[in-house]
Amino acid sequence: MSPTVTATSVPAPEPGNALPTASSTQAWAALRRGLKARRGTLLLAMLAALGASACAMVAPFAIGWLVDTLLGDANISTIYLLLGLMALALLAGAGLTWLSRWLFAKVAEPAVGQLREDAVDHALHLESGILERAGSGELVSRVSDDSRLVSAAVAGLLPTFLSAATLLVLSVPGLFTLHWALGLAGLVAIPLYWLSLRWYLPRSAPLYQREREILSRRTSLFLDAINGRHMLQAQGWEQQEIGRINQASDDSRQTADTVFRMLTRFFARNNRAEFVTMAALLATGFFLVSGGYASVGAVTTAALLFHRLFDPISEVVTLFDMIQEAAIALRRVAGVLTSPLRAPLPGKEHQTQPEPGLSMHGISHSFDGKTTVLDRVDISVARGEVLALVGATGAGKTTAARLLAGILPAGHGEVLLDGQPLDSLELPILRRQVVLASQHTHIFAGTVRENLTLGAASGRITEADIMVAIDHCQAEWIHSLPEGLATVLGSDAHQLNPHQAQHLALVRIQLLDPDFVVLDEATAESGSSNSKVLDAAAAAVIEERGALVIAHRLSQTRLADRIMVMEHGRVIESGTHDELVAANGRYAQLWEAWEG
Amino acid sequence: MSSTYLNGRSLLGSVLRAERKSIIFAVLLLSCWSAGEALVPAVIGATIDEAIGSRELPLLLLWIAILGACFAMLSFGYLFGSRFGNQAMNRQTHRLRGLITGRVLDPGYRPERQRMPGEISTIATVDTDVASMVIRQACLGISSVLGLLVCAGYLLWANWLVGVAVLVIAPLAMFTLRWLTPRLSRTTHQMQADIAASGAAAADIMSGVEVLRGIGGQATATGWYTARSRKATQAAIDSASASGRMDAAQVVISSSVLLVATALSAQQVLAGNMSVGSIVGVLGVAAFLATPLGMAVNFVQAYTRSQAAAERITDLLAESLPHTGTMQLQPRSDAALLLTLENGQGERISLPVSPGRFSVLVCADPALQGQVRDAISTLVPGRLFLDGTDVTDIQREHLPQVLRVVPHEAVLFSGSIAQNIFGQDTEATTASRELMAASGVDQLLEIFEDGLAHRVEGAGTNLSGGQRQRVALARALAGGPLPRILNDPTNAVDSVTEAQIAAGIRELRATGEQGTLLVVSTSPNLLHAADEVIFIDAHGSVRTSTHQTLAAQHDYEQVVSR
Repeated sequence: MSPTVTATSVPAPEPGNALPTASSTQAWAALRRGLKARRGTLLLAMLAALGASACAMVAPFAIGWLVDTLLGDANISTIYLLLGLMALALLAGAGLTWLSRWLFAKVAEPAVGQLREDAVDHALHLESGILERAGSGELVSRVSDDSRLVSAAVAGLLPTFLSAATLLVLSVPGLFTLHWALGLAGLVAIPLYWLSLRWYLPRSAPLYQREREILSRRTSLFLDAINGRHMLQAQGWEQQEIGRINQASDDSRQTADTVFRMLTRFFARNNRAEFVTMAALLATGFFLVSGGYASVGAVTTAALLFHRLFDPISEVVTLFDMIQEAAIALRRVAGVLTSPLRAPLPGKEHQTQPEPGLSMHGISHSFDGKTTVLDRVDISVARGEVLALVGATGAGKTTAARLLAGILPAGHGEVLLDGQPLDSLELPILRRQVVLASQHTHIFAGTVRENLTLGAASGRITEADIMVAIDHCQAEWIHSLPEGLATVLGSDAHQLNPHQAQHLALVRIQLLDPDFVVLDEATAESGSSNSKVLDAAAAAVIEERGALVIAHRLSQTRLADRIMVMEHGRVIESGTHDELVAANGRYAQLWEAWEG
Repeated sequence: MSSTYLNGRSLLGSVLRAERKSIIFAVLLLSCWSAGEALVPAVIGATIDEAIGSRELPLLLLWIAILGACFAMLSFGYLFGSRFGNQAMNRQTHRLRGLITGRVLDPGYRPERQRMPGEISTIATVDTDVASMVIRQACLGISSVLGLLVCAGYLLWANWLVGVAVLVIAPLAMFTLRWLTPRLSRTTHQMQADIAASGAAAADIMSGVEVLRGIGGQATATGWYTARSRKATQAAIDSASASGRMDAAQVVISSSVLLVATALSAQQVLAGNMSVGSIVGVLGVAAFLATPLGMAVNFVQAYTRSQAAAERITDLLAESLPHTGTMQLQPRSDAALLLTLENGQGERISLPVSPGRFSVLVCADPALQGQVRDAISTLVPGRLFLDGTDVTDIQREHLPQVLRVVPHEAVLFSGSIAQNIFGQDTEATTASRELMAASGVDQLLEIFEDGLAHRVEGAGTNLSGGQRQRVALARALAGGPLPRILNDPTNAVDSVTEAQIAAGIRELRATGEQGTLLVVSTSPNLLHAADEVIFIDAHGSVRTSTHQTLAAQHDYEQVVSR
């Protein structure tokens, strides 16, 4: 039962993923950092666990001696002595059991906690582009689900595993002290359980994997259908959808049956191992007692020792695949830690004439190396100037905005802030000057105040600042929330509608008070009735700042100082609203369409 | 529609009744397992006593054969018995899931209070599992009785004094432990809650990573998470200490039973009332006794949990209004539509929609606007009439064949674009040019290399809001001649595309494959393209005309100007 089983039967990580899965060694190294600082406590925890198991073995030995005493001189004081010894071992064992659990938690929990905190911190500071390639879902699942799996395994599985394993480790020499032949007979168990595991592990991992996949398919089909049930009913599609969900449900039923069939066969194999080993011990004991090499008491002890191992062994063996699963999760979490972080590139020496403002020069961009998203684009925004970017879906507006805000790294060409390449700036310094809000909002679980002051260095913002910003952005509705700024938001607390979420994001930017603002469809939620409020808030936020605004609502873009029209990754027109309308080009067409 | 259950008990009753035969088989086989497990230590003791003590080889072979028989009995008993029980359980879980799916997707399903999709999904996933677990508990609980009888019989046979003592102390010890458990491990639930909370916090923060990157909020978010994680760490340590205490209590209590049994046995052996080998058997059986005892007691606890789960299922299944509509109409694409509203004074406002024409409804009064949206999103009696028939009088399953009322939200499914437009069973690779142009999907097909086969992932998260809306519009317009009602179908689409869509709808209608069309919108593009505009002004008066004519009127111009 060496740990190599874990390493060899782990399925290969899925390819084509931007986030690597760490090797077992790297994963261990990540955990060891936390364990090292608490080496002394760890040693004590191990000793306590061994001591507890040793105490648990006193009873079988004492009973063996008791049997011998009863068969022999039946000395009453020896009997009392043995019973007293058992009682003492019982109490000591209980104390040590508690001590080892507590000490072990004191070592392991902070180590795992450190790991998951590092993973979140690291994931938030990944090198630009990794997130885009990996997808945020993958990161969420690693940082949340996988690290939860590791934490739960450390809290739940490892103590059970540890106490069972120490009992196993002590039982083998225990049998040998009785008689070497009994020890050898006990060793018969090892290859038998080994074979049983060898049968089970390669089967269980893919089956559990399939079970999870089918389960998640069933759940997502079901959730999709519930979310879209009005649509299904409008189209008259609900019966075929019910059929599909029932089919998935039946698939998962069949897989559950298969999994259980496999489990019962595994248990039967373990039963076989139990019987063969027990028979070997009894037969060996028979010949030893017949030949006078060992006492009946010794054989009794051996039989009791092994019978007591039935439960711990089957626990260890069935925990194996859960531990395997936790190990894979650990490697996935550690994989996040091995990904490169965003680090500022060395800045260039003074340019001859540093150009003030935010600008990009000769930027070309492609995500897959084949399709060109941006083709030699030049955009510059001066302080205090509002530039609107207009164009159809797929024209490259969002990519340009993300490059200009320094979220995507400039591959070809350069993006400069007052002459300095954005890639050379430390993130906190960059974000103090350039801030981006897109149509994707997210309300963090926390109070309104926490959501508003999220981006700024804590302590810098006063209550009065918040009031002013709310006022400036006409977001008075915040005051009428159940508990005003202290209202707790989030999916299981107070929920904001998408319109309010975008409004909140605008107030947040006002609080951050940057020099440059990039708004990528940040008011897209405005339905016809509310559009004016969000538009006004956006106008208030970009006031006296350099701004790049992308909006499909031309009522917002017409107020810009300058408008650029993009098509197929290129800037095709540039000028003021009146100039462009007069030029009768693409923008004039767009404007006409907007006016209807 | 489907059978109804009065309460959780009757649901569990139906679950048990449906699997009567499987349960009987499972109980018989599991009883063999339970008895076998109880007999193993007894046989080991007998082997030591009879064979090893007497040093007779044939006796050894005999007792090892008996031991083998015990193992065979317990092993096969469990192998087949538990399979029978488990398959029955999985069958019932599947049946309950099916009941729930059928009910919540049924057009008549009208929950009294809004349930989140996640909540319904939990009932369909977790509660169905827990409810059917009543089968497993029943099988194990009943079969444990035989195990208990074998244990008791052996103990009393080995020595009645020791037997009686063990049979009294062992249950006492178990109840003591059960009494102690909640007192010692109260923090375990707190720990699980804290670990779950820190996991949820991580997911929350990572879902907002786009926002954080835009505003530089990474450091603050890390701070939040670290605080939660540290709390979880401390809770986990406390909880480990609590379960350590629990484990210690278990060691003390269960070993005490054995200690008493050992002492009494030694005394009885000395008194000559018991054989030495029986000590092994007595101790083994006494140790095993906790297992069947626990199973029997668990049954009561587990039944309570299953019943609570079943209760939630029956509550969900009961949430349904009977749909009384029974009428079936002849499908007519140019059917007349009539919408009726009520103004503040309780007066009726009738909004007739001309048969076979393309009308856009504009409403200046917010309250009436809300009524319009309600009338077309949830079908309630007395609001919407098709050729003079109240739509709620039409048989619900039949309604999609005579009228399509399209909800506003552009809900997409995981699957291809084609499947989202034409239904999951389609494998369409082409669609009419007019339909694609009328929904603006033609532009998307230029962007997606794989065209209509392009995958929509996770309910459309890989598409923008405007792109989702266009696919949903194509779905609404597909399917041939039919009267349709659309609610603000282009608000997330850019104006160029919207103009193209408006022109496309006219062209599509010219093919004759459409029918009466009512759209609720204030988009100038759609208004311009419509045959007629129904305008409800701020006072609730209705004017029906064209966009060009109405545009000259100030109050209309106010509402539709951008």
